[in-house]
Amino acid sequence: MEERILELLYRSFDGELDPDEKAELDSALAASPELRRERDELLAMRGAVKSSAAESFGPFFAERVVRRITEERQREGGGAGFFESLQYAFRRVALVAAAVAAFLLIYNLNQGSGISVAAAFGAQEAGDIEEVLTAPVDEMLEELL
Amino acid sequence: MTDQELIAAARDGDDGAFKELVMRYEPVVAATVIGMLGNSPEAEDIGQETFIRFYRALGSFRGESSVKTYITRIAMNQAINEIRRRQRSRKVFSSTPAEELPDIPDERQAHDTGPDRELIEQAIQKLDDDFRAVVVLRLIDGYSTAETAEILDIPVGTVLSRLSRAQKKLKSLLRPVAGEL
Repeated sequence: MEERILELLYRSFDGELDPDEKAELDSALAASPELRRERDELLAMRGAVKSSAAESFGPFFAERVVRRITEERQREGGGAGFFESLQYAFRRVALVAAAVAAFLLIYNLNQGSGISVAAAFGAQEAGDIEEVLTAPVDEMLEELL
Repeated sequence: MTDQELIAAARDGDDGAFKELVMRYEPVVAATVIGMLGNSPEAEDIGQETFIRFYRALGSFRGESSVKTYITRIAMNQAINEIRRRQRSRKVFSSTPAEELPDIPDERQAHDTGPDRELIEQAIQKLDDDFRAVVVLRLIDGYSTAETAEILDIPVGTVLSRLSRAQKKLKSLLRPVAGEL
C-alpha cells in the first residue's frame, strides 16, 4: 500500500486534509479493498482505545481530595496561629519591659542631682558609675526601694 | 452552577463547590493520568495532586482557557513528572530496562481472555512517552489536534506526526487481537 495514501488515511481521522488530499484519499479508498480494510481496522482501534479510558479513581475520590485540602488548610492555619500567638506574647513582654525601663529612667533622673547617664542609672555623680557596677546587688536594691 | 460560579464559591472557601468541580472533572483527569501511568497505585496520588494544585491556583485562574483544558494540562504535567521520577528511580535502583513491560498476549491468549481494557492499556503503556501523550489527549480525552498541541505546548504538525506513528505502533501491538476489536 502506498505510504503517502496511508499517511493521508491516518491524517483524515484528525480532520487535517485539504480538499485535494481528501479527493485523492476518497479515490484510493474506492479503488482499494485493502485500504478500506486498513481504514476499518484503524477505526476499530481508535474506538477501542477511546473505550479503554478510565473514568474514575474509585469511590469517594472527591471526598478524599477535599479532606486533603481541608487538612492542608488546617495545618497552614495552625502554623500561622502559633506564630501569631508567639508574636502577641512577645509584644506584651516587650511593652512591659519598655514601661519598666522608662519608669526607672525617670525615677533615677528625678532622684539624681542632674541629667546625666550616671544619674539615669541611679548613680549620684558621674564618678559613681563604677560604684554602681561593682556594688552589691542588695545595697542597690535597698537604695532603689 | 457553571464552572465560573463554582470557582468563585470555592475561592470564598466553599468546599462543597470545590468538591463539585472535582466530581465534574475526575473523569478527564482519571483518563489522562491512568492513560499515561497505567492503573498503578501512584495514579490516584497524581490525580489528587492535580486537584490540589488546581485548588491552589484558583486565585490566579483567569479563565483564559477552559477549566477542562487547564486541569488536563496540570494532570499531564504531573503524570510526565511521575514518569520521569520512575525512570530516575529505575536507573538508580534496578537494572530492569524501561521498555520491559508486560507482553501483549499472543492470539491464543487473546481468545482466552478477550481484548479487554487491560490489553489496550498495556499496548498504550508500550508507546514512548511523547507518543502516549498525544494518544491519551487526542484519542482518549477527545481533544482536537489544536487543543492537544496547546496542552503539550508543541506544534500541530508534531501532534499529527506523533499521532500517525503512535497509531501504527498501536495497530502492530494489537494486531494479534485485531479481530476482536
